[in-house]
Amino acid sequence: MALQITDATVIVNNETVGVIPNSVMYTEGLGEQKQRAVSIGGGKTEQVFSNDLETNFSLISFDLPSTVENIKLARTWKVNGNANVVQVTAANADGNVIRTFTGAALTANYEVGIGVDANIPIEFNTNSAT
Amino acid sequence: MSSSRDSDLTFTFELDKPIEIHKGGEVALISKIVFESPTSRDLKEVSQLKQAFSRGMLEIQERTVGKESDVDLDKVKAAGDITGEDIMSAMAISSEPLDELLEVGRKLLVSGVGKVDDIKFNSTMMQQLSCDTLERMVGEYCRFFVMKRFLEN
Repeated sequence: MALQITDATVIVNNETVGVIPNSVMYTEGLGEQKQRAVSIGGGKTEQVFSNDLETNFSLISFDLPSTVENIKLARTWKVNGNANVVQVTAANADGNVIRTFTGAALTANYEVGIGVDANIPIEFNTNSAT
Repeated sequence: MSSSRDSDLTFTFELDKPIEIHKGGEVALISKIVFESPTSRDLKEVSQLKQAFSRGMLEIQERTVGKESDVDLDKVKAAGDITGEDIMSAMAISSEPLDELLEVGRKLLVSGVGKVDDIKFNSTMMQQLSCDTLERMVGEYCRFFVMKRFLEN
């Protein structure tokens, strides 16, 4: 029986950060592909496959609890522009998944929640995951 | 795989296997860590290490008086080439608990005394090191700073 991965370690710029459980999500950055049909006569068609290179980037997102330290951290990441690196390691008895996201930038105007159970939703735009 | 003293205040530790660090948005492989001498901020860890190493070394010297031993500290010291590995080997055969020593050493090394390419050496980076490397690193740090006076005398 396979085990669902539920526990992830998130490292940003060499520091391990404590994230809200079940909030980590990323895209592999392999982009989107399109397939179109071309007519070759006689009622027949062929497939033309293409890579949409505009979509070849990754997103890595997670939530941080709103602590003073995390508010400072997020601000530092934002000010860094795309000079951030995020690394995610998720492991269980079946094995592990390690992804590294370079050139990471917080492009959105992220929100900082203040209150009980309030979070800071973080979403980095990055180079394709490796 | 060696360590070299840069000045009285720093030494460079060479890793046997490079570690990955994050710098400027990229991942870099680094094989050298520069360690600075401890400050009063590290008083607790330095004192614990100093006491444990002093006790361990004296115990071995007493135990080996007039006997053949694999670890002859006097000879090594006289030759002027005592290494961090020598220190840790000596500690391993003393009655001092090695795990506690290494734990204190680990705390000290990530307290801000180390720099990797001008970035603070921290516990996340430390996790990439093998047990042998950590042991050697603690030994070298003690050789250069914590046990410096003990070894000179």
